Amino acid sequence: MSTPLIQTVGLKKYFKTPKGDLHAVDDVNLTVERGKTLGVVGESGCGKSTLGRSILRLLEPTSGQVLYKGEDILKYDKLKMHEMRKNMQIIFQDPYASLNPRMTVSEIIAEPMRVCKTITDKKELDDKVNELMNTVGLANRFVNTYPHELDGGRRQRIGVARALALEPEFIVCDEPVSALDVSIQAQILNLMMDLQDEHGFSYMFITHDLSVVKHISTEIAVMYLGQCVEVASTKELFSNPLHPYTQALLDAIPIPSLKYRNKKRTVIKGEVTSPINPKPGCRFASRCKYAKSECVSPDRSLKEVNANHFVSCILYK
Amino acid sequence: MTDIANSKVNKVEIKKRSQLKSVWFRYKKNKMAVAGLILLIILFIIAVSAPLIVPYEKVVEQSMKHRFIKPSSEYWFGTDEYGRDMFARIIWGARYSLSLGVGSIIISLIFGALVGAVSGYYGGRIDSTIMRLMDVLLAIPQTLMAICIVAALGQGVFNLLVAMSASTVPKFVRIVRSSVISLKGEEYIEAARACGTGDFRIIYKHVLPNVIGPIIVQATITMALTVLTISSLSFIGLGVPTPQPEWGTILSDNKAQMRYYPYLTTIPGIAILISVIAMNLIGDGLRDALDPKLKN
Amino acid sequence: MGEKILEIENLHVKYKTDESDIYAVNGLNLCLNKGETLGLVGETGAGKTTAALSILKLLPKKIGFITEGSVKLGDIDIINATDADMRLIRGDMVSMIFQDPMTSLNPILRIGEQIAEVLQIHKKDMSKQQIEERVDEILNLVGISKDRKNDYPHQFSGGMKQRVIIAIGLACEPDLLLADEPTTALDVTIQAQVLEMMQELKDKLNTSMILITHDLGVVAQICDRVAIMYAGQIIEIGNIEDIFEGEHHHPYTIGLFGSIPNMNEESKRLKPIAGMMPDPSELPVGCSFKERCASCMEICKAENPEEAYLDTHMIKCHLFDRKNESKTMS
Repeated sequence: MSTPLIQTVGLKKYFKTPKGDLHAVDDVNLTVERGKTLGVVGESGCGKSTLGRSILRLLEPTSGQVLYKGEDILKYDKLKMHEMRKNMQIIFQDPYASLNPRMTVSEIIAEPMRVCKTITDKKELDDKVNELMNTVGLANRFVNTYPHELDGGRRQRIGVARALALEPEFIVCDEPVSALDVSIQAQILNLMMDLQDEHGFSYMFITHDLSVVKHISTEIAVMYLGQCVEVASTKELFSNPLHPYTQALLDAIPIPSLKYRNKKRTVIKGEVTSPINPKPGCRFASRCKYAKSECVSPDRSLKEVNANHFVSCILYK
Repeated sequence: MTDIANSKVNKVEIKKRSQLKSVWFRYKKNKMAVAGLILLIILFIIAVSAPLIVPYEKVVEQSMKHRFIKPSSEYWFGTDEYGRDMFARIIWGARYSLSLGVGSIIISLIFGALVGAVSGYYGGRIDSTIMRLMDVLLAIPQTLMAICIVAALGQGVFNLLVAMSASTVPKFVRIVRSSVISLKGEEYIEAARACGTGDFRIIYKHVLPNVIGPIIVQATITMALTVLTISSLSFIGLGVPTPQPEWGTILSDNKAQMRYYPYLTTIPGIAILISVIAMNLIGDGLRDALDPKLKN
Repeated sequence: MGEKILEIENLHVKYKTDESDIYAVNGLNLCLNKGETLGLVGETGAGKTTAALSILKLLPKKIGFITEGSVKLGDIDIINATDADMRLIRGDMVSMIFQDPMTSLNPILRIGEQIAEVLQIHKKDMSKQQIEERVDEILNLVGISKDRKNDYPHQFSGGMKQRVIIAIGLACEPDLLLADEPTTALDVTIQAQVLEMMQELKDKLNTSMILITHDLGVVAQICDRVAIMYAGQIIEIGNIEDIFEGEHHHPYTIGLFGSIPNMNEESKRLKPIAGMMPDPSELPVGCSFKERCASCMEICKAENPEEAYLDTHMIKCHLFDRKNESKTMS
């Protein structure tokens, strides 16, 4: 196998809080292949956004490695990292907060290219901005408008155009559609998939919405309290979920069809516990109906159960 | 995808209205604020065109024959104990009072914005150091501090400017810092960092333009206070030296005559009052107009 | 047909803002029977929340106005009711649950007190003892141990807070519960818990409910009837089977379903609706969906379609005006 585009090795990010260390990302090992999409799913507070930001070094990880084509970018100095940023971009959740309200659409899209000096000629820059707006489906007449004059869907297109401006290879998408209405959400999802087909981007798609992640991802990682509990290809995960948490998560999704109306669901009790100084052992154990005494044993790494299907649960050895 | 987007775009016409326009739209709904703005504009026009209204000689020209003339058609605001034309003095006084007010605000604004942005953006030790320094400055009453600085540097227009700026800077530092801290977590700042934007560019391009609202409001309200402080300093003899017609100085010059010739102190008093009220009204109006929470 | 608990006819609501008038609800007709759960579905800005607020007359003062139409709650005419009447109705006959459980509770009052408060206002004849008992009972109903009634809201998690809010809403056994996106702010596993609880309550209490949501999955789980809103009108309404399994649909409904990634089959591309909702301050002449509609005809550009009924199923679209002419009942 060739070296993957992005690989995290034992990535950890702890936040210091007055009550102790908050384990936002705890020993996560993931791989993003070229041209593929890795979906990262989990509930609020499971550390999925922190993971995305740690990979981009928007947050400095506490320990571990982030390998880009086999090279550890956490060892890069400021200058090298600046160069590196052209290859990795991010699309944010909130199309309202992620655009500077005092800049026009063209300024926002041109800004990354100005900063990285990839294009210095004024005329060329304008052309590139036009081209990008065309790519993401924004009419040229919006060039001089401000973001607050546009609706959520168009704003998110600006966010996508900005991420594309530096022609990155890898894009972290942090809940890019969850603030949008379904019909607009579908437009943006289609756009992102088209762009991937054309340009061969690799995505890390962070979301809490399983139906969206199923639609767009080739591989899915399920996170719970900072840890990755299951990784598998999309098809495998949905047809054969192994970890009890994944099962519960899949079962909890309300499906817009009457076939499932009277199906008895297995609703997991309780809520996510605090990620501050978590106890050793399986973090899901307190809510898990299969929990046994061995669940508290500290070793909980991912094990390959089926081909390319990794689970961290004592039920599978 | 592009087709869909373009076709819909051609049909839906967006409403275009620049931010400045919508601020003005909300501002003009407040009648008092508009009145304040008109007053202040008139005052500024008077200050700028003072030489066209009365020549400067009239301000200093003394005449024993024309002492204590009550307001009349010849001397609109009367004359003082040296027979100087009060109308000319008040008109020219606007120049001193307003330019000192505006000048000191501009200086403390620039300085405060820079220091506050640095303090808020970097946080940590830099922030604590700057803020403790500002706390010390804030602990001294504005007037007292201005008195100390003028006393140390000596009387004069320039020193007064320095004194006033130094005493208002901490306010701006605080307000800019807190705005910057609340903005720092915004995703567009993070987006800027994600494409490798340097700290300096982030501050001046992404942070400062977005904190301009609260700064402007603070500036207009502080300006009113500054005009008042300058007049008080002049009144106690630490501001603009006496032959020059600053409003506070005029008040001070005539305080002995207050009992017999009340117009000598009332008129400069009203001049100060009008300018301070105008600035306060504008400040209130701007605060409402710039408050993003009221925006739709 | 059961007893009618709510009847809205030709409701129009307008918001006056600095810049323009916003027509949020434009000719809404809606009927609700006793014990029925109606899902009110639509995108942001479709007027769902405004419609619910009009029922309680809670539109923002001096901004929101009911300009036309009638709202009847049982035999009470809401439009002409005084403020004093409305205060008696709110919380007693009709209660509302808001979207955000984090901000809907008063942080400085114990949750027991907050539940007791509604009872004290509306059930004047209840003794202190009875109120206490009722609080315990209602907490039990929503699955919170009564030992926790002296806790403050910040001691509860999001899902538990939403249960408390539902408990407050149900305390006086209202005839009608308006739930505005009650699970949107919750995680899926917590949402499943709350939905399960609401389902149980519905069966137990026989309360009518209007569930406002944009999530068709939630609707499929607990609603009996569904109304699809678009630009301030109900464009399709019917029993849950009509909407989810019926043969005929409004083009917007089709688009809405096409936009949701399907969990059960492989689909490469979604089929979204092009464009976006018309600006509510400048509503177009004719059908409000015409600009996004693939089957737009000449008549759609000129006339707003009539409501076409097919038994329990209503579609407001010119396509069905003619097709079902013979079957039209109304």
